[in-house]
Amino acid sequence: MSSDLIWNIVKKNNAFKIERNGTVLSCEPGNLRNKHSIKYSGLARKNVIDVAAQNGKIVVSSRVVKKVAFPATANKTTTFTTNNSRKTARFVKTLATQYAPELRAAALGRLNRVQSSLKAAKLAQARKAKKN
Amino acid sequence: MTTRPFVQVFDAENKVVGKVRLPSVLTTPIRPDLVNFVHTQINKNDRQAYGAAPYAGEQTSAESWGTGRAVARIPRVPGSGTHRSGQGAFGNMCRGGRMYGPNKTWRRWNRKVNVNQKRYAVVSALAASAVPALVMARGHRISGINEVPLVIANESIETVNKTKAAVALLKKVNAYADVEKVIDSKHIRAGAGKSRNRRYKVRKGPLVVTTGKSKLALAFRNIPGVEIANVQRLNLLKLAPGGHLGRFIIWTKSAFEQLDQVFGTFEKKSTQKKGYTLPRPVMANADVVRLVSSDEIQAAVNASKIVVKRPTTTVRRSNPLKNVAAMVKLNPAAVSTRRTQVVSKKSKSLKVNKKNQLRSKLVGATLA
Repeated sequence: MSSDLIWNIVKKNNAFKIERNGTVLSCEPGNLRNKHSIKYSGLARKNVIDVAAQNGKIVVSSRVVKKVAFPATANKTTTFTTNNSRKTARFVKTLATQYAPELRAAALGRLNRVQSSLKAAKLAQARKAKKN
Repeated sequence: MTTRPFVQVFDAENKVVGKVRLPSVLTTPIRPDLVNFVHTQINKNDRQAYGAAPYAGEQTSAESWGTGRAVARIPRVPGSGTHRSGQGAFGNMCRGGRMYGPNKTWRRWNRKVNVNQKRYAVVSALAASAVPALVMARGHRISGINEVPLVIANESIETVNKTKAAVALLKKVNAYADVEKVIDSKHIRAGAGKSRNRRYKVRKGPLVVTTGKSKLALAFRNIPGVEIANVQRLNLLKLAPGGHLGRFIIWTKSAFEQLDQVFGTFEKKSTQKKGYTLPRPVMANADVVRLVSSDEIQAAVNASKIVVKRPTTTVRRSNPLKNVAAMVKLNPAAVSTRRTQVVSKKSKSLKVNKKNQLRSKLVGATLA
């Protein structure tokens, strides 16, 4: 289905839209900037890249356009540990450049934020362990 | 619109056991405005009349005392001998008086909706249920299921007559995540409804659509959030709860196959809805990006007047002391001097004689 049509159905209200104090955000998987807009929408777009933290690891996934109707296999995922951040960045960069160049900056930005959040979590954990 | 000609059929092991032709209903235009409107109208049709007792607060022969008695002109209860006499009556400000604007039982409780509109709404809700993005946007957890629309083989689903088996089936086809979401969502209702036998609120889970010829409904009906419907009597309230498109539907194969008869196709009329044919989309292709970038349109439009300015390339400066290439650019003789420098490198094991030390210093000075 056309992404414009999906966006027009979804933009007024959907399960992932968050409206608080006049700011509108969106929390669906694949929304790299968590912004409620057609460009970043993980629902409406055809080419979707997702960068997320999962069990202390970084999961980068991209939606296979032809497999949209098959949710279980729709995403191509690659998992990275936090150790090789440059390698992950290189992967995200090449993926985005080939697959959805307009999302490259957003994907790399998100990767950076996810990485730093994971590092912070690790540090906090280590500190807590030391205290005990 | 989904343009796949066939949809896969899955068995209780979540394996493909066949395929069914995609019914035309699922490719009809999606009209959220119409669905929302029809939903609000239809939703009013199971209301019961309520209101204050018609004579409440009016059962006295009170009359105003008029002016001149130094009291307000509100009607007052006549007589003497009880406390009630002389008290104000009728008014909404009076104790024992009538409320303001009491609800009447003759309110228009139900709404008539045009049959064609109702059908359009149902058809459109069905079409939305075949678009994964819209099902997800409604909040259903479908990321694990194999295909949208999800069709289960008759042998696998219609033989299910125990809730335990039904849960097992949902788990196998990865639809149980949606039920778990429902279970987690159970919370006490906000507002007065909780004291009116509507204490808890839960989300909606999957809708199982059948032909109604099995005991499957008994097995599924006690799973939180799961609802069962008959293909021949599909109800918009179940297909688009809250007027929001994209209910997660699990079809039995036979029900899925019946859709073309129940709603007809674009060519054939429905066998069950008199004189009904499916609404056609106004645009064959609603993909605006595709349209704009098509050769036909691109050939007709003027060239863009916006000039994209590329950022001027910045000259990358590198430190000639560290970068050999940069050094060579400045001083072509650097190559040979460098070579000599390597030779004269200090090593701990070798004692460098004075002459050589001097020489290496000299080279270092020329490079610096």
